[in-house]
Amino acid sequence: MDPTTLALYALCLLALAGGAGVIALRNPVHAAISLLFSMLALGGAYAMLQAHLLAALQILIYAGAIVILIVYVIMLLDQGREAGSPIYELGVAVGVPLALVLTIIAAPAFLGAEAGPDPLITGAEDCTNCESMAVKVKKPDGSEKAVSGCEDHVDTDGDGFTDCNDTDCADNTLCYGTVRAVGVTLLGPFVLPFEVASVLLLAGIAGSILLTARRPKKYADTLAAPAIQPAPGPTLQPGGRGGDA
Amino acid sequence: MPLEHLLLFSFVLFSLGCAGVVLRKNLLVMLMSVELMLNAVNLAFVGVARMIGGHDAHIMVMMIYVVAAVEVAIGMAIVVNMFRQKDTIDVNSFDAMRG
Amino acid sequence: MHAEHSSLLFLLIALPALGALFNGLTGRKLKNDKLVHTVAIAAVAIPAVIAWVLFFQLAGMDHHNRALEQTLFNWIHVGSFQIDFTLWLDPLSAVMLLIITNIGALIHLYSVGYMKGDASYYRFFSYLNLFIFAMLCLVLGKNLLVLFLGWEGVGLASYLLIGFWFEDRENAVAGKKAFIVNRVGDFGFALGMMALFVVFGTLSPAGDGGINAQLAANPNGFDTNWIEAAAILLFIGACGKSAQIPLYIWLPDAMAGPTPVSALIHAATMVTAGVYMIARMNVLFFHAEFASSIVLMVGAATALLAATIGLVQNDIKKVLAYSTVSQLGFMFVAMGAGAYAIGVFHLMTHAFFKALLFLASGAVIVACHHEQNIFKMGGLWKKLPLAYASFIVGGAALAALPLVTAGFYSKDEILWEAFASGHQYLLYAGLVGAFMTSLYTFRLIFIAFHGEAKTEAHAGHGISHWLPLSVLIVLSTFIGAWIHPPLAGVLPESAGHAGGEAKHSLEIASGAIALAGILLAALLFLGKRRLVTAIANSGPGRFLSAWWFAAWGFDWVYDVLFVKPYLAISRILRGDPLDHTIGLIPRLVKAGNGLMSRTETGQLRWYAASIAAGAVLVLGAIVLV
Repeated sequence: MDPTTLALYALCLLALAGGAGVIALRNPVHAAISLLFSMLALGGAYAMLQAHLLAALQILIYAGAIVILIVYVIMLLDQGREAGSPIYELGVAVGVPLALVLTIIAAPAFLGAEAGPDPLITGAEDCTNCESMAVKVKKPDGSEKAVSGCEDHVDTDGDGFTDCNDTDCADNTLCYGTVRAVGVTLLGPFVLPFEVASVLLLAGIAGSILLTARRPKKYADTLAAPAIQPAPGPTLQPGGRGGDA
Repeated sequence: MPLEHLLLFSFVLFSLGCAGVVLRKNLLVMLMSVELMLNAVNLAFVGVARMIGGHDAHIMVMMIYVVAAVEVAIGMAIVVNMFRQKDTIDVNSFDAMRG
Repeated sequence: MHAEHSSLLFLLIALPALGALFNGLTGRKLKNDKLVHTVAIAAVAIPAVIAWVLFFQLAGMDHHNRALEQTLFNWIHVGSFQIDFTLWLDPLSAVMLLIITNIGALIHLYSVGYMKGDASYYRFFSYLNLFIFAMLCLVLGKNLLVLFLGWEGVGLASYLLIGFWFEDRENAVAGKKAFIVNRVGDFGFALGMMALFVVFGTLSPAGDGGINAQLAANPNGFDTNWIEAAAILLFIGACGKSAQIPLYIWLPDAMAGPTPVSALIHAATMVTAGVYMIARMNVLFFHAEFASSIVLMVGAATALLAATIGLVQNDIKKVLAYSTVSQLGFMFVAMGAGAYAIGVFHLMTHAFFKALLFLASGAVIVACHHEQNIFKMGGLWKKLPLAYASFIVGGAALAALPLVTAGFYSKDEILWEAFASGHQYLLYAGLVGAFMTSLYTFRLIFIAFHGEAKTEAHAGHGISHWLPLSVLIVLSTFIGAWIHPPLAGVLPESAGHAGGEAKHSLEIASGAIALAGILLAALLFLGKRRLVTAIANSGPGRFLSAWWFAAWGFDWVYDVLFVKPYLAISRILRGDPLDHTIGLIPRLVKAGNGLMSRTETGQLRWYAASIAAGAVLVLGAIVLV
């Protein structure tokens, strides 16, 4: 087994371990850190799978934004260690063995396939298979052409392969999983989802602001309010304001 | 690595996420479990993309990133609001839909 | 036979009906007692006059076609079941008609004084007129359905009148008992009517094409099983109405009603409806030999049984009630022996002296301030001379004192017919019954009227008091026996048994027995009654008197057999078990609802878990199936 495959297995197992930590750790901060760990491991796994842009985006978005946001909110709400509840214990007691059993039962379906060609090609071979990894590019004159990873098929670095490491490939190659390749696809056939995603992001921004904004005080209230008023404690009625601004 | 192995990893990760949603009382941890589920799906997408060639699945994964980001943002806003209502984010106490 | 049309017949039933309606509807508002009893008496007296007119018209008619009829309206026309509301007057119904209207008029007159001052005066007379209406329907009906209408109507009137003072719960209960027991008999009567219709195609006994005519023309052309069955079923109805075994239990309780009611209904008229019905269906019973023998034996048994019970009673009205039952038994003996005319004759004389006895007992009760126990009365012969005379004459008639009383002639004929019809043991039973009759009658008279006075008595007065009593006294003597009902042509004469030596010796024997009964009664019950008290206190004496007092246990048997199970069942059904059983369905649905609503916990994790579980199930189904 070559190192890339080994690394892929290891990273996937680490991701699983992180996931287990999320659901098992009582302290929410610990759970968040475990999630971070899992995200990083997944990013590495994407990298092993030649999804270079996605690996970068995984780190950026998930590990660098989403988990941070979650940690912020945990800090903001100052939740302590989650108390154990009977159903939690019951869930663990029942669910873990059940899951193990199910996995053992289901695993042969997943694991038994040694036949057939290995669909995941790793290592330095991807660009040698540029023919089958062809990307369709629209040329300026309107015709389509399947561009292979290396347009010139010239082995410039002498490693015996015509792959992305060849210098003339490096300029105008659309190697699998690179920014350029994904970008061409994104801004080509998938430009509509791209634009809609931006609208979605706008909606998200507006929504999160609206949801958490406090109502501004009316001027009349400020006049009627006494100079000194006790800070209202946290109320427990629905619709009551907990905490103070 | 055969595709089936990768899909198995994805499956296990997804069920861990499901378990987290069901088992944890803390709302934030439930949201984290949802993120786990999304990531499991991403992993599956990436693996399958490798197999069928093309970058379409990568685009899908990017869309999922966008959706996950927006969802976390709005979800946090909601969590903060719920905390303001009940001063706790123990999900058992939000049972107004009871009955 | 061809019957003449008469336009007067409907008045006979219309006038009492109008009287009942008038008094019933306006009595409470007008509050005029004089108006009430004037209307009521007119509603009976005018039909009485019309009855005499019609009677003489009948007497002048040809022997073979002696009948008047009037059809009022078409009642039921359903396919081949054609019933008209037709009134029919032939000598048999004329006899009954005269008895009902005349004695009814006398009793109405008596009630004026008896019910004076009662709060529901108008209601009483309204019910009495209702009774007269129903009874006249009964005797004047040409077909059995009109008779049945009257049959039920007199049952209704009897119920209303027995429970007249319904504020006292026992009176209402007695009324109910009478009605329910009557109903049992009516069930048999209705089945008998259906059987008759199946066999003969008509429900009219009399007239052209009637049941009697069909049977007379073609005696052997009908299935005897049906004839016997019909006769027995009709007799069951008669048992209910005329208080024979086993349905006599209502008559003693019916004494809870006012005394004029007892006199009219439960002595003279209603209880004789069964006898009348058999007389009407005489050809049927003549051809139904088995049924006739049943009638005979039930009548004889009842006569004896009731006499034993009457011997140990201490309520003056109950003694008279049981004596009525006993005398009805004698009438049925006559009917069973085929001597229909004799039975009707005894019916007539019995109406005279029994009504007299009841009216006089009413006078005694009122005079003794509503005291009904004869052992608490005594020495009344000086204070209440008219009542005493009534009792002596009436009692003598009841006991069939020879030659001077009307009762003697009729009872004697019955005994002769019983003997001559071949059932000789019945003669001995009849003689024993006659002996006991005179024994208990004079026991009553001696205990109530002789001996030392135990209550202060005040005699009644007024024409309403002495006129009815006097008329009935006269009729109870041999003068009454002169009114031999002209039933020739309607009822067959006694089955042709010749008189002669045997009959004379029977007359002498029965006369002697009656006198012996009186003597024994005098011996036992006049004076200090030491002997009879000793007998009563002895072992067998105590047992017999207790058993006979309880009417031979019939009430107890019916209570255990019918009343208690029925009440037990209704107690079980009171909780409405069927409703609860059907209510199981909504309860199940509610339980299901409760179960289902537990899944809506409002808990987010629960919902997520159910989604997950559902997804697993679906995936499993897809994968595995």
